[in-house]
Amino acid sequence: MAFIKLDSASKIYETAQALRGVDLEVEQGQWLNIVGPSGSGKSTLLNVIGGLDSLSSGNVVIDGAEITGLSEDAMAVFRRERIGFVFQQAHLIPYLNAVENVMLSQYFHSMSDEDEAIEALKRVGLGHRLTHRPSQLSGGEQQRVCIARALINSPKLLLADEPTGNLDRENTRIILELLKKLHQEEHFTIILVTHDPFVSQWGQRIITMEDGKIKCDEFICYL
Amino acid sequence: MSSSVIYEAFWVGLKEALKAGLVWIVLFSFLQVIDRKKLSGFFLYGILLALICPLYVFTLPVTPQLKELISRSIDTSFALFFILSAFLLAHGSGMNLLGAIERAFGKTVIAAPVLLLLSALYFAPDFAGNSVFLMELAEVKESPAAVYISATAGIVFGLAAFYAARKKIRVDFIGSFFGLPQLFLFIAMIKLLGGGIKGFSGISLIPSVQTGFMKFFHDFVHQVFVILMVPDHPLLKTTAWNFIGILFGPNFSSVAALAALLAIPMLFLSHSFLGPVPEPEAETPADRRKIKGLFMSDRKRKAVSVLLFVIFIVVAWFSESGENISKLYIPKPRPVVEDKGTVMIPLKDPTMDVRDGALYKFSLSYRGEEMRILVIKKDDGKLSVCLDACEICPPRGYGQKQGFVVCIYCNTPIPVATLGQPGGCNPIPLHVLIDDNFIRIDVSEILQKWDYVKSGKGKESVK
Amino acid sequence: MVFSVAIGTAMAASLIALSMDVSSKVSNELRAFGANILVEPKIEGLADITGQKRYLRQDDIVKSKVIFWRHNILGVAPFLESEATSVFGGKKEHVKLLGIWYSKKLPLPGETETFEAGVKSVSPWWNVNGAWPDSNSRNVAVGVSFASRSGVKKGDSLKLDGADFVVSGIVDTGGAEDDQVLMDIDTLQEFKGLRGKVSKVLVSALTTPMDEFAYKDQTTMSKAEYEKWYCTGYVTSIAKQLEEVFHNSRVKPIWQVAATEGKVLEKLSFLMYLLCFISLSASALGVSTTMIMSLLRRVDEIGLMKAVGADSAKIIAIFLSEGVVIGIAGGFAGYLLSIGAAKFIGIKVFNTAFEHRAVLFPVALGSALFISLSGMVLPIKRALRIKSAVVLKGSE
Repeated sequence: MAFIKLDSASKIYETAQALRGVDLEVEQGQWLNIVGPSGSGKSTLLNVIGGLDSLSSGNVVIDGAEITGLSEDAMAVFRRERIGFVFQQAHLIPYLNAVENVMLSQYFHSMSDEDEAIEALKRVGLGHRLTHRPSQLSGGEQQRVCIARALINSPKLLLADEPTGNLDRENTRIILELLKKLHQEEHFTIILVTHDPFVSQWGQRIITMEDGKIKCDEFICYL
Repeated sequence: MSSSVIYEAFWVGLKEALKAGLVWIVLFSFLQVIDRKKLSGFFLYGILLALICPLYVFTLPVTPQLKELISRSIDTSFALFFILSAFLLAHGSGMNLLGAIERAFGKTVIAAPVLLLLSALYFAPDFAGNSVFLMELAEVKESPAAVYISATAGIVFGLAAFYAARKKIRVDFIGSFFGLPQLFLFIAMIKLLGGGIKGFSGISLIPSVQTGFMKFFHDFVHQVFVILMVPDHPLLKTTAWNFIGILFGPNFSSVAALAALLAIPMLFLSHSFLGPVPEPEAETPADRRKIKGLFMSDRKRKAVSVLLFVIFIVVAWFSESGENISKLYIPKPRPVVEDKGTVMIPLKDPTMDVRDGALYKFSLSYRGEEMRILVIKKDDGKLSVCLDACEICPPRGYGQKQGFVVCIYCNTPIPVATLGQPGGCNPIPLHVLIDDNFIRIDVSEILQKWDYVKSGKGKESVK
Repeated sequence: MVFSVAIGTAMAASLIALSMDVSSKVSNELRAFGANILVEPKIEGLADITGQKRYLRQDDIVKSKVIFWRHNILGVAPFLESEATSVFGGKKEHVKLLGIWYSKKLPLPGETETFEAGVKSVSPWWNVNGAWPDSNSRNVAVGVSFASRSGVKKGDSLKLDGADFVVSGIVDTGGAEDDQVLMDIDTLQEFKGLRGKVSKVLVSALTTPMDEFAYKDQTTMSKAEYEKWYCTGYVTSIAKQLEEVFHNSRVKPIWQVAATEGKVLEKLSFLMYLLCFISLSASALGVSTTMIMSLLRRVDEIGLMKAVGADSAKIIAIFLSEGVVIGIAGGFAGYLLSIGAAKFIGIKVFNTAFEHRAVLFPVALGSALFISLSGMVLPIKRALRIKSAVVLKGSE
């Protein structure tokens, strides 16, 4: 049984059809990159898997749980226990420092634990930046806080939507190296959306979306 | 008047129904959460069992002894539930005892009869008390049927409200707030707030809990003194007693009683919010946190009902003592005995001072009858000693309100300055001897005047 | 935001405080001092047409203390009304004369005790600058309006129908008496040849509050009800008994006055509570809009919290705790403000010093929490509708 299974998933917005009957299976621990032009439906696909958006038809099963049709609160519980998110923008709370931003995620999950949050930040190489506000951190550092936040609750699935979209090549490399290290240590599944060919080469599988459909699905060598 | 009697009867019925309904919902939710839903039937049988009590009471004449007995049993049943809950709360930290009880709860053989008995014990005194109250209401009214029908309507209405609401009530949600101790505490709280029955000496349970504590303190200190063999020392008689007397004063004992009542719930609360959390075994730190989080949130949930209890008690307690000023204050009669044809009432003892301006009542049981005497200090400093009855009204006695003495039966206020003068709705004055320590009254004086009241001759003379 | 809560709270709390204050003051005065029974001569037959004056007998006054409800009679004040032409400083004027007792001890028949009758026992707020006229002298007291109009001062000599009187004091009652000349009843009786006569008697009685039962028709009562009615000290029962002891009298309760005052008070209180509710709602609305504005700036945050796994209960909890903090801060500020406001309004509008009550604090805190929490309802609803997928999208 595949870890993620999408069955003829379709999403229709008022103006356009973002997904047109996508079938997809992802194994546990796989690093999958989704590429494709703007408006090809790759972000929608990610949001649907993460339960941030609902399908118009078809269904999604993640880790044996059918998430189509769950209530919003049930979806929130599902997200906080099994999924971590990284977005293009950092979306850190501006008036909380790095540790507190990580602790917020702990708080919504169950309860906050400062030591654990500090440990997590050290693992992403921010041991010296614990009490800095987001505005005092560089873009790359902010994104690393986001990764720490996303992984703090030991999710089985990490969803990243253009995590390096705002970063230069150097920082992109740092982030990707970090993800790779954590992926190898903890064996969570990664689904990463990008339009950067450099980024898409990191991982085990690339699917190319076009016009709401999977156009190409290839396995690559894991760097 | 007539319609207010009907209204009161309706309210009595409604109140009992609401009380039963509330306890029922919470108990049912609790049983559902621990997956023992079937036990709830025994609670209902318990209520039915309790109904025997009022049926029996209806056949009895209303006497002060009966009312006393009932109000005692209401107190006792409150105490039973409160002590049970306090005991369990105290054990809330070490869950062993609870585990044992919960295991017992798993066995229908044990749980069912206990539940049946508790339910019957809980409702029987209240039902009986309300029956007496209804009988008294019916006495005023020409057609008692109307009173009883109205009370029944109240019950039916209350039950119907719960029946209508049953689909809307989220049983599992309510149940998640209750553990066994919380359940008992909640039930005790319902009793404390809704268990008061009109027409009884303690209008509500709170003052009676207060006096109960006052008495307990007094007896306790007294016993200690007896053991230490100091009571007869002359020094103690005056200065020290005055000082120790503070301990028995209404203010101190009210606060002390409140503290005693709240000590264990407070302890439980502090434990719930601050107590250590066991470190669980789990694969990842996140899982460990999740287990801990669930444990803590459950603990906090269970603390909510206790917190509510604490808040309710504090508010009710102080609003009660605040209302004493505007409400009719009806003291509980203190028993006195006759000795060689004379009744002696002490002017002062550690629990009271009849010259403090408050109304005092004393009751004398003689020839199987209870006669009440009231004592109050007038503005000119003289003590006025009268029967707790006037010539014309049925002998319900008097209360005190804003510097007046008020007839409980006809609600007529009487200036304290005119006490001791016969006539009107004034209490019948008694010829007494007052010395430094005692009020002395001839029993024959009391008997003769009380008989006069009972015969209703005063009424004839007015007409 | 705290400010708007504080203003609303202050407004509400001061209104409630004032309303409690005023009503308790008025009701106290009504209960404790007001005469509530009026004894008048019965008017019948020709007297009505000829306008001939009828009087009560002064000797009957003492009988009010021998009726069944005698203990509940707190005060009795007889009045004798007459007229005269006054001359002062060459100015001639027609004045009303009022015979009163201020405080007179009357012996009770067959008892050693006396009882005190006079306006002191029914209208203790009557105030004199100087001395009340007594029975053995030709003293008068003049009303404050009459005094200022005619220029009469304490110690002056005043001619009434040609006879000389000395003004012993200036009286301020706040009523019609301010325009009259007051003297002792005995003096007036002698002066006008009305020995032993009085025009009306005001009685202040301690009564059982009128309830539904009191208005019931006695003829339809059951035996038990009639007995209860008879032995209850309603103002009607007491009036009935007074009528029996005053010869040729008509006695009526003057609750109409009290009832009207009560009604006015009720309306005033209602108005205050209405105003209070409006001001609370207005500031709740203020909190609501401010909160929604700040919510719009924080849409990202809420979206993120939802993505991270906050369920609606946690979102609500976050907003409510903000509400509680704002409420408590606003409550404190509002409480302090309201004390000042109540003092100010009390003096300016009601001309009465405001009495501080402990209950004001919980009232202020309660209304502040009401404002801030009810102001949170709309923002919370709005927050729960936020879709994280939309707000987190950012720029692509």
